[in-house]
Amino acid sequence: MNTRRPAAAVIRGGRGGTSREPPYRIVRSSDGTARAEAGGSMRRGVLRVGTPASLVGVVLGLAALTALARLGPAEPRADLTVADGVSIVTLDPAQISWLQDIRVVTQLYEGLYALDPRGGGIVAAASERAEASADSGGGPTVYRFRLRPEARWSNGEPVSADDFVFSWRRAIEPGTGRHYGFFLECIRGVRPYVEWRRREIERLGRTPPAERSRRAAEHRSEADRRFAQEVGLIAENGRTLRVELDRPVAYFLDLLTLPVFLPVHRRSVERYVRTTNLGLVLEDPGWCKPENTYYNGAYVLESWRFKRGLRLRRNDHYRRAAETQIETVEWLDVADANTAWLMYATGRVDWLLSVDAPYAAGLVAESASPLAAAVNRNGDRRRDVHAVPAFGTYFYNLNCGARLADGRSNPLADPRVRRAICQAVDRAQIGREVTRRGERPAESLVPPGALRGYPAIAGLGYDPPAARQALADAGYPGGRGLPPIELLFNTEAEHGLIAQTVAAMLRRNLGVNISLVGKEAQTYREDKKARRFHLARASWYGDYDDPTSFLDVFRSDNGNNDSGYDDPAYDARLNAADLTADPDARLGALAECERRLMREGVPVLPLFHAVSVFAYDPEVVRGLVPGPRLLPSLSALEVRR
Amino acid sequence: MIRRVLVRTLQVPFILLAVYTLTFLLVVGVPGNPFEQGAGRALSPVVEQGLRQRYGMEDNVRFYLRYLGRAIRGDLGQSLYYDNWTCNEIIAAGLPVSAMIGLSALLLAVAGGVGLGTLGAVHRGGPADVLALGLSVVGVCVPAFVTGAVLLVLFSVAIPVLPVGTWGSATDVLRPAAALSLVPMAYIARLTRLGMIEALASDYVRTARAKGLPERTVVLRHALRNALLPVVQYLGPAAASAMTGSFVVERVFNVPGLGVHFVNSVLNRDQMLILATVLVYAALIVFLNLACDVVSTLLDPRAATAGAP
Amino acid sequence: MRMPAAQSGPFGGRAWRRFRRNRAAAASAAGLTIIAAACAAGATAWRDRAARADLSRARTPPSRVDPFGTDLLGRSLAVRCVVGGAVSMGVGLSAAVFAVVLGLAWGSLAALGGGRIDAAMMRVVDIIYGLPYLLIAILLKVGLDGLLRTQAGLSAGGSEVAVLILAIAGVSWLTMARIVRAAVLSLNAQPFVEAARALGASPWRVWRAHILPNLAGPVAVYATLTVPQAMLQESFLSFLGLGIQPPLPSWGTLAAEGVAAINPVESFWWMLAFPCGLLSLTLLGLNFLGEGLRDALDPRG
Repeated sequence: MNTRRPAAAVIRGGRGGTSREPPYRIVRSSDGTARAEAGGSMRRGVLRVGTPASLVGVVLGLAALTALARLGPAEPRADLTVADGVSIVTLDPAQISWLQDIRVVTQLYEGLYALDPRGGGIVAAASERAEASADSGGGPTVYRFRLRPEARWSNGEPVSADDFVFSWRRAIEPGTGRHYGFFLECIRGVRPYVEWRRREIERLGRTPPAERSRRAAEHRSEADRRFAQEVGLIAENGRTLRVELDRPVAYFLDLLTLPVFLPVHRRSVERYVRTTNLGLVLEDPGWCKPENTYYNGAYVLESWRFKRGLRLRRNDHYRRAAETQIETVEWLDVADANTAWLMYATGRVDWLLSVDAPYAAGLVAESASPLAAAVNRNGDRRRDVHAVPAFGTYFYNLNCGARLADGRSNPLADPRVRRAICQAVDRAQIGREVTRRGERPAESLVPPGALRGYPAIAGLGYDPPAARQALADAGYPGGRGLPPIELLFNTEAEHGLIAQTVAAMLRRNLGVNISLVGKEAQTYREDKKARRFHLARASWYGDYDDPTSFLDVFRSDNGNNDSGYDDPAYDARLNAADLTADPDARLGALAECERRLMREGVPVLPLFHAVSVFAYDPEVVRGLVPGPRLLPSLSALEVRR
Repeated sequence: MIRRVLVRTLQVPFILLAVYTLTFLLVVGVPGNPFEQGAGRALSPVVEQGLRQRYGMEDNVRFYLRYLGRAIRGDLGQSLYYDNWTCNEIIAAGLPVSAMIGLSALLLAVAGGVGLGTLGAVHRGGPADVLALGLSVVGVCVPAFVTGAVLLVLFSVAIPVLPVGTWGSATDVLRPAAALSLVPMAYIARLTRLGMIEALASDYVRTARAKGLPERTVVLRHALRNALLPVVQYLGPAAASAMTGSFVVERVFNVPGLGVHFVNSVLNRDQMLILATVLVYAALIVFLNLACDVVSTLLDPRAATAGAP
Repeated sequence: MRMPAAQSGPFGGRAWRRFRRNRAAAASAAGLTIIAAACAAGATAWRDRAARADLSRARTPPSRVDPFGTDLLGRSLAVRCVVGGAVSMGVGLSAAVFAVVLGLAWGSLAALGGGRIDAAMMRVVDIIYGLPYLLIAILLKVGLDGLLRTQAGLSAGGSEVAVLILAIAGVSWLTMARIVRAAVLSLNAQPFVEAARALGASPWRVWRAHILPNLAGPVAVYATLTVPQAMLQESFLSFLGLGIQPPLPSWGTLAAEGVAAINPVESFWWMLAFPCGLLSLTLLGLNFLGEGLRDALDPRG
């Protein structure tokens, strides 16, 4: 009799349910004994592991893979263990844009100038001194940097000006340059050179393949000639670097602290570079791996395991190696903020560079940080959680264009509507109740007090009656007549909570109907670039210590101007202010630009100035001065257990 | 029989090609620019063009063909996001880790599940039975990220037994493996329990008991062997999913496994790494299938004729 | 299934009695009906209250005013759980329906097509089955999102949920396809189907009138088991930020918020316990229900 059960009994396994049909049959043999025999239903399924032998095969396969996992004995603990709560992306100075990468790379390389580890301002690093001279009135345009004789690479070779020229050139060449390359465009001749290269590469792409290698070789030598002659970046001799700008840049020395201006060891990186038949400069990025290159910073990269961490070792050839107390550093790569905190709390990590766990607010409230004063509970304060104001602002871009991406007319094109939105949001309450890290409510872009000599700007404060009046003046009394306003944000972290709070405030104070559009990070970025929003969440951190780091974003031709703010008068005012010779007058003029931007132009709804939280025990990690720019220099620290 | 194996072997390249094409279409169709990764900063078109040429991604057709050509030769490309690492290196770093956790989780699941199931069947309603039922509930009905997070806090803060978040010594495998083993342990316990109950009620066990064999021999030698057959069959798909489905566990316990790399590559639109990972997974599964086919055909020719397509 | 044509359908008298005797299944059915009804009623009544935030009462533990406590923005968690339940169950049910329809069509076509068509179609199922489902879910979700956006200019609300349902259904139909195929294969070999064919009925009529009614049993069982899977996948996608978007709650997003609230500093246990508890109860009930159905329709000897 056929005891096979079709259908449900046959299908089994996977992620679904289990079948209770016995997969075996009892077979009675002639002498009365019974044994179990595998039934026909056992031979179905994708992975036919019905027989133990094939299961053994699976297990052996897994075991072989496992043996490759190389779990060895734990390494000895380093002098200092650091973690960041975000993964390290790249260690190539020309490709860097994330803060966690910048933090690592500033230990490995040293540029002409560096941020002062004692907080505030810059100090001369690899360069001993700079001579600035002006061709005409209005600020220096030619800088000559004399490199320190004791500046050396980790193989003992002196740091030469050629290294700088090579590294800065990498940052603008098509194929090796990335986001921060545009900071070199203030150097004379860079922009025409890059344009010329791009055109030539296109032309090479159109040459027939037979001729290509010859043409490419010609193009290469032509490119080298052009760079040497037309770009204002010259190594006068081994120790002097001359930089010629095409217009005066008041903050040029500040710019030099950016990672894109760091030098790399030319001789070792050159071996990984090749120029293709299409004229592109290609690099095998493996040069960043330890043992492949040399470093001129306080530390040398000893090992780097993907997504596990790095080990740094003191660079004995560093010019200040004698003062560097910490010998080995372990920089752990932790992708989850909660796990990072637990690692700190259980003692695995000595210094946590960013406490982003959702309960960071609670930690700040318990801490002895001055920012916690506003939100503190009673009781013993912890001394190891530090909250400092960061050099950045969290805001919502307001779409200033006449039409949205899909052709609908944009009510926010009217500045009165934008003003109404700004004045209808109680930012202090957001800082108190939602983010709770002691953030200061923002009315301006530049965090007040962050730049010496730059006044605090009074923008549009919280004023519901004025907001309602402005909205009525624009023709939408009580919010009537406005279409649903779309608020775009990415769903990570607290952005959703803040968005919901802002939406509720706007609804309550203005009667405006907000439609919340939360997207995952990449899609959100696409939508923001394509201007598919009325309001979009954003934040901006200053790259260098000058107000233009924030104000330049709203120039009509700036690629980061997501609001689409287009005001030629603002551009002109900004240009005029930037070129003012006297530094104090310049800051005053820039302050006036910002004031008018925030009060009249209103391209953004500023919410609060960012706060960074990190954790370390000041008794153990000494010499650390937490500051807004947050680029710690490990060589200035000491660990005492 | 050999013909069948040959046919299956010849199908492999086509299957992989189909998987590659499907994934490629999905990957380039999804919105999101893989190069726009800078923390919120714009990328000028010139720079982006240069980057695209660097990776051979100027247009989709060329990208498709070039990547295919390189992949056949074993070069799975350069990660677009982690640009110091090749996809081969990333996968070589992550796959053994995931496999290790998967294997340990399976072993734990089998050991725990069979034990609990047997005890539960022998002492119906006793503590083992209740525990097995509880595990089933947790495994099947609570989302994995919840159990993972709770286990993490439990075993690192409430009961500070093992260090958190590291990966380098043998003990670091325990917690992620334990978290991952819960669901298969629940299934295996249930399967064993049911199988044991049936086996213990069956004729030949009664025969064995009547013959006067001690209870333990009856249970362990006769009943268990038959009760384990469905468990063994469940292990096949369970092995595949344990190796590939451990993303949540890896993320929560900060384990640098392939699951985390893979999901991050999707979220970062790292097109090269997505293609590389999918190809590796698909190749593994297809070859595993093939190997099982070959072995079971060799061992039991009847399987060849009793089979489905 | 022992399903001779003589029986009127899968739920003949004996099966029903067996089902009722399985106390867990019966209790689950009752419990699920209550939860579903409560959520549906609550969702319609409290749709706006779910988003009403009162920052001054944020993060308060359960009390008389807020029986489940409040969340990070001061919204009543009880209200959110009820509305969230409606959303989750709605998404789960819809995804399961889509999965059933797709799986039914695919499996039937494969089985009736036979030979090479069958082999090819089931190969496709095998391949997709072997790929990590998360990739497909994410890519489907993000891809369909982009497609809908550029085509129709939709960017919010309903379309997001629709895309989520499609993405989840897109990975859940595989098991159903396999089951349906095996069932149709076995039914095809039954004498009453051969008789119908011999009498000249068209393949469509044979399928609709003879095969389909007898599929109702296994389909019902596995449909009931697909719903909890769909709900779990929704919760996982929400955890990754790809699922239901705020301020619309779902048990998945509430559980994700609750997980974020587990921490060694301040404990907000109610934010995790209640949504997770409700989710688990519902999933448990659905599982019992499904298994009870399976036992009722396919008892062991």
